[in-house]
Amino acid sequence: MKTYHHVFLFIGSLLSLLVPSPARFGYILVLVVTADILLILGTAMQIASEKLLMQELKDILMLFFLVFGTVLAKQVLIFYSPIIAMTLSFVLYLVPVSSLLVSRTVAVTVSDWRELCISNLRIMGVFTGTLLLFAFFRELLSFGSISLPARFGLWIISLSLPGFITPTEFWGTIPGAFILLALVLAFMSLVQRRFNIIRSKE
Amino acid sequence: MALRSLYYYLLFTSAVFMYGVGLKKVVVTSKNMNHYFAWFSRALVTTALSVIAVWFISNTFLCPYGLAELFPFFAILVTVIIGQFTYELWSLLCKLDTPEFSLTFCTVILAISEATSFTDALAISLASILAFYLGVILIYTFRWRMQYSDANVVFKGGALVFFSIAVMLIVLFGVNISWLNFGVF
Repeated sequence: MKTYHHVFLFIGSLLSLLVPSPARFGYILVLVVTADILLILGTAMQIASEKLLMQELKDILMLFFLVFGTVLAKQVLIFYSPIIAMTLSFVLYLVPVSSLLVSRTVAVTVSDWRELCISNLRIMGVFTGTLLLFAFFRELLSFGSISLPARFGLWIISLSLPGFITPTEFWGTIPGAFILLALVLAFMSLVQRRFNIIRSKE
Repeated sequence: MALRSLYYYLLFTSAVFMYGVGLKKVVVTSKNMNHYFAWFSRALVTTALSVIAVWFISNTFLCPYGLAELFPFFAILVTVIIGQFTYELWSLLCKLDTPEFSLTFCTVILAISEATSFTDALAISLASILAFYLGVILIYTFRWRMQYSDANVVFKGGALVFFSIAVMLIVLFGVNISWLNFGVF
């Protein structure tokens, strides 16, 4: 049940961040860094609100804090690279309301803060890895390149692919993202079913 | 102009499938169509009232002083207050629990940040909510049809829903690159 819940959160957050953003690794990297910073600060804020006995105001405080973090992140981004900030503009506001952040910061009660920190860090690591891996392969399949955030837009590095792979821009489109996500979901479902069979035999 | 925005955010660049407003929620909500109109009407009223209030605050207190970037704070405050009010009202009128926040908040942010006038902001918010609840009906229909398909169990559920959305989007956006669209060639 716990695994299913995590898979569902992952897919939900992947959906909300991958589909509306451009199919470039550099943009996803910026979103992932923002999500990670917000998750760390959100966890700290949640522990602080518990210590300061502000549980009744916790939900609204957390939402305010997450939006504050996003506005601040956007200002830093505008200062660093206005083009990236302009391109991501609205997508940045999807980060504080993504299912992963809300479920790990707003809709959770603290019983043991050490356990919460470890659990959130673990989830953050897996989420970051999954999202970056997905973004990497999506850009590779779409454009045959890898991009990184730069002062004036993106720094695009062309990669030489094996002869049997031809970059197809379709994977960079929104329907392409949905099909890739569907394949990932089907693969995860297959793996989970195999594990369940092995567990039941043990 | 407002009508153009309505069509634009409802169909051509659907607020749900292009901007990702409530994308996860549309997949989850489509599992059950109970009390559809109660949820829809509450979201519509909350969003419209929030957009009116945030537009007024943004234009009166923020824009003249170059503080327009701070409007999300007011958006969250206004959305929470109006959302709580409509939640209580709908609980009394329909005897239903209709908790909802992220869809309304994202719609308000989208409408205020992309609109060029007040009517435009209202049209965008209306189109976004309509796009969401239209998406719910569409995906519910996909799910209903899928019950009768003999697809592999691995693909049943989420994966097949995503494939269906992808095909639907290809059909919708296919017009953009069609030879019949003289704006391109």
